Amino acid sequence: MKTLVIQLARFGDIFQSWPTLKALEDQGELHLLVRESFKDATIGLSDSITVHTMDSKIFLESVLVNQDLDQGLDRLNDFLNRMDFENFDRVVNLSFSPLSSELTAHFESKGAQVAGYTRHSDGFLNLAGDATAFFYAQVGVDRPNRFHLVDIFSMVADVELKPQSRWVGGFPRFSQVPVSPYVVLHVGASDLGKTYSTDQLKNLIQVFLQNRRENLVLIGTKKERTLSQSALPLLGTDRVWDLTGETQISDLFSIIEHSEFFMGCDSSPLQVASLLNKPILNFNNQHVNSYETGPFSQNWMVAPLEDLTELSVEKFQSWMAGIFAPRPRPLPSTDLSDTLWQMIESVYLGKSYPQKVLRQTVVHITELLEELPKVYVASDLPEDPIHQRILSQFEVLIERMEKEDPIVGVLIRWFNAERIRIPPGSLESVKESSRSKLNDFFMILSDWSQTLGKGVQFLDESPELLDHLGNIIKNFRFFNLPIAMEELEQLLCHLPTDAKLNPIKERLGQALRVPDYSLLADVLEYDLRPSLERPSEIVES
Amino acid sequence: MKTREDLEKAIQKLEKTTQKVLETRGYGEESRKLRILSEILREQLKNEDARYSTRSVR
Repeated sequence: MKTLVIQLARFGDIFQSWPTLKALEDQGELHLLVRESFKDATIGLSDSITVHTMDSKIFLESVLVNQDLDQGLDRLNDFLNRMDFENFDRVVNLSFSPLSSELTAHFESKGAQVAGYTRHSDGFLNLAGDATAFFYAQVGVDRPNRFHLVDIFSMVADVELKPQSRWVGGFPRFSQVPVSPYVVLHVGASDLGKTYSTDQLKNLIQVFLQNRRENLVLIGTKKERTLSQSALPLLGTDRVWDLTGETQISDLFSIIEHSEFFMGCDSSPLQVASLLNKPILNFNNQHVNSYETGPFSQNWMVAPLEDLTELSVEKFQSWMAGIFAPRPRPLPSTDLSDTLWQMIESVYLGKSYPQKVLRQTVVHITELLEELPKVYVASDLPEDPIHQRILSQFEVLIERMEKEDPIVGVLIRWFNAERIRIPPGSLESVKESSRSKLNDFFMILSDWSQTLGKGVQFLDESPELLDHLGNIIKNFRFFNLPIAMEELEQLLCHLPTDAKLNPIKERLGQALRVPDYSLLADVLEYDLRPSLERPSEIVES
Repeated sequence: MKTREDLEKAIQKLEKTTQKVLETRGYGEESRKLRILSEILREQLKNEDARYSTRSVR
């Protein structure tokens, strides 16, 4: 089997595709298409993978600069003919963009089986595969997905990732790094909003040097050199090696592989460190979904970037403990984000429906259950003006609900993705497919509402104790100790006198006596909170 | 040096041509290639990492 993987996104996405590429190698001849400007992200891949590049510049030059559309089409024909010569049996599109969908459709028209974004025969978007439909509906900015991109890519390609394909190694040592143990710190990030200020960088380096014995190697691009150079004079140490602006992206494997661990924001060096299975301390801001694009090595810790503004030794040491712990600490979550994930698991993996919802969710489910039968009937005769009104009002209704209600939004996006997958055909076949999707939508809502009927709880009406508890946990985790201790004292006064809570109170006492504030936060979060949420059970740690 | 305005004009022109082909010959190899070129231009408006897609629901 001859397979082409299309990955037209940036460095980080190409690196996150590596595990899938390694797994696909076992299936036969493998080719990879990337953009010319990001081809360095393929250095280090197996020699058996043939890399093709697409250089947008030559097409832009024709159409935009020379204003010669015919020349642009000729150049495109040359490129496509070269690719068609390979006669691919299968094309896996890991790019999720309109451009890549058209390219994939081109190869599909030549007889290749495809996965990922493509087009139907009438030119509309098609989502080839369940994993692709999941990506369309649930992955991206402000979406509740918790699968890592590495795993999503493998699901789209329909390969299993064993440990030997998830990670790489065996790169030679980079000559310009110290022989003695060192840690790598990436001073930049993939986007401006994700990186450090000078003070934050200085604080991090200072605390690192005071508390660790390793040298520190800084990496980054030429433009990030101003950031590293602005922080270094403030520190006056020869333990920091500044390689910013002096390395190629392909050098990163050699530099990072031989380090003790990696520190950095969301960026392609983070993905390289993950590929090398290094312990990672990742700083992120609230806009990044670490479940999706965070570290994927075995040992890692994600910390908020803002914590670097006033970084204490205790906090840093807690991070060090975190990155070398047997298992990564859970990523931060809220009740709502947990519910959204549970909704995703119920729709896509057949797990149980969430019973903790927003008040409006119940209203929306009821409304949909009333409307869907009418929409189903109207779909049989869409030409009728009354039915057309019902159908268009339904579209307005679900568009509104998706914006207002993130929980029902998961289901609506699933439904929309399923409708996109309906191929063009006769009116009868399209109607039948549409009604089938409507029926599925109705069945899911119906099952869910039965579950809710057995015992619904509302996210937007939490008991007072639980309100305080969330804040206390947050303050202990972020070492806001004076506030945390005061709030804890208040909480302890208001705890139920149920004897079943005594073991938990004892564990709290032990943590306070050490004192171990991370342990304290863990007992509050994983022992006390569930006990207050489910008073009939006691959680044993 | 080409400006954003030049880019938008080029995209519009290309899309008009594409639309004519779609209307006369439907979606096929020719219109697909025109759309590929359109998307390459359009990506310059968003930086070469567009993660959006056109949505059409039946």
